[in-house]
Amino acid sequence: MENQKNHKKYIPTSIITSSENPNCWGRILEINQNQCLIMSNFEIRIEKILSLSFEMDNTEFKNLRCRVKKITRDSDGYFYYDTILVDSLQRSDMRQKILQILTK
Amino acid sequence: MDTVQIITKNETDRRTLKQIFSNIGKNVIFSHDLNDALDIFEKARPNAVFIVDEEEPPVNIKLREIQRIAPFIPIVVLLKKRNSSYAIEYMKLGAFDCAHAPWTEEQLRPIIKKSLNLSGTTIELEKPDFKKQKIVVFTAAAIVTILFGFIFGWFYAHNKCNVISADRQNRTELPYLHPSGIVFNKGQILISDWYTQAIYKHDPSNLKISGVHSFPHITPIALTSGEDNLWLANAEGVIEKRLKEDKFTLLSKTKNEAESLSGMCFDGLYFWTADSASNRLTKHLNNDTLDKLESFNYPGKTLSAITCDNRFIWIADDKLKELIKMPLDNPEKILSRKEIKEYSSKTLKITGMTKKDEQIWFVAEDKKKGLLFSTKHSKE
Repeated sequence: MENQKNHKKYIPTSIITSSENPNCWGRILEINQNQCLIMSNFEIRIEKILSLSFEMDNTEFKNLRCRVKKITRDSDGYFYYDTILVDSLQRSDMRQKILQILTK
Repeated sequence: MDTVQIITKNETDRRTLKQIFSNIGKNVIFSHDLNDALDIFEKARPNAVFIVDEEEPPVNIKLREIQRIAPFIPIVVLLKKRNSSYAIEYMKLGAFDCAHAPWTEEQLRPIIKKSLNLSGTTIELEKPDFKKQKIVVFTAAAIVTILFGFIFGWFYAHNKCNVISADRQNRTELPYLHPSGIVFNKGQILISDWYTQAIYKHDPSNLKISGVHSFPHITPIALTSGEDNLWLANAEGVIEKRLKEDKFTLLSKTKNEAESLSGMCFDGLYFWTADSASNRLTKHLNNDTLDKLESFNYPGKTLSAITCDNRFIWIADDKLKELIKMPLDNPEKILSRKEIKEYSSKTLKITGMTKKDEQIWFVAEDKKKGLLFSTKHSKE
């Protein structure tokens, strides 16, 4: 079984950083049970806790909590956020889901 | 120059967007609606399509139709209101990204530039966790270091014990309890015992007793030897000079002037005595009367036993628990000090010593035991 698979598209995700700033969005470039790499036009501060909601392989993920650990910006001006999943239960669920995807 | 198609009916929006795209350096083609857009699309082949929402037909239909004819063209939805739900929905339907009003050059510039490079999300299960790996590596290294330290320490202690054991191989319990002097004589070790009033002859290879000579009329308290004769001091205060042969024939007797004679030695030219009461060393002529030449203060604490060769004199000091080395030409100056390990027994009392090659040999009493042991003397 391979441990990696490319989705047909970059998965769009809503990003909530705070109740005052609920309407952000971006795309998930990479995801595993511990980390998530997000690309977005919106600027978010480091160490901020994000709440991600997206659909992956017909499964809804709501309020996936991640902390921004590293920010880079490309020459086009888009931001790339290296985040880690902070909730252990969510990490466990994510692992299960990824296993399902990879074993299809 | 890249060409961008914008689908909107609103004149205000057109003016705003035209200005922005012109500043960014893009050519703009405007379409009123979907049909207009599809017509122009066939002719102009834009590099990207921007759709303003809240106009008929709905954005989802526009997305579907444009993607039908150009599935890989980047499509950006320009939202009139900032709404992430709509943005996600449009992105799911195929929009590359969405930009919310008020549209600005700063906001749109990255979207336009990025819109041409797309790939798919990488989904993986076990990304290498270098941080965890580092912790594991450091922990393993720490464990290995600690283990190595234990093993090294064990070997060190083991060898140290073995060294002590090796030293203890030079330590023998004598069959008699009160040795008082020791000399080497032609492949034999001679040890006097004051209680049994005898000199025991030992085989150096196995220290077994090869002979005994009794002195029923004297109590030997110290023993030393020269090339051809030995000196035996007795408890009556007399030093006897005797031949080094089986019968130990008496040659001469001299009164011992030391208050408490603790040792004697011959350096090849002069005869030395040690007085533990006055803590003094005395140099004598090697004649029958042992004429006194000079006397020296011992710089240590206790003159327990002495031996010498033609250059140095060694003292066993019970209080310092050390072997003291001094030059014969200045026996008040300490050259070196070496711990005598056997003094770890607090009841040990060294009663005689002699030098043989690199070793200093001792006889001692310790808790009703007679002991023989040796140690290497320090090199010059």
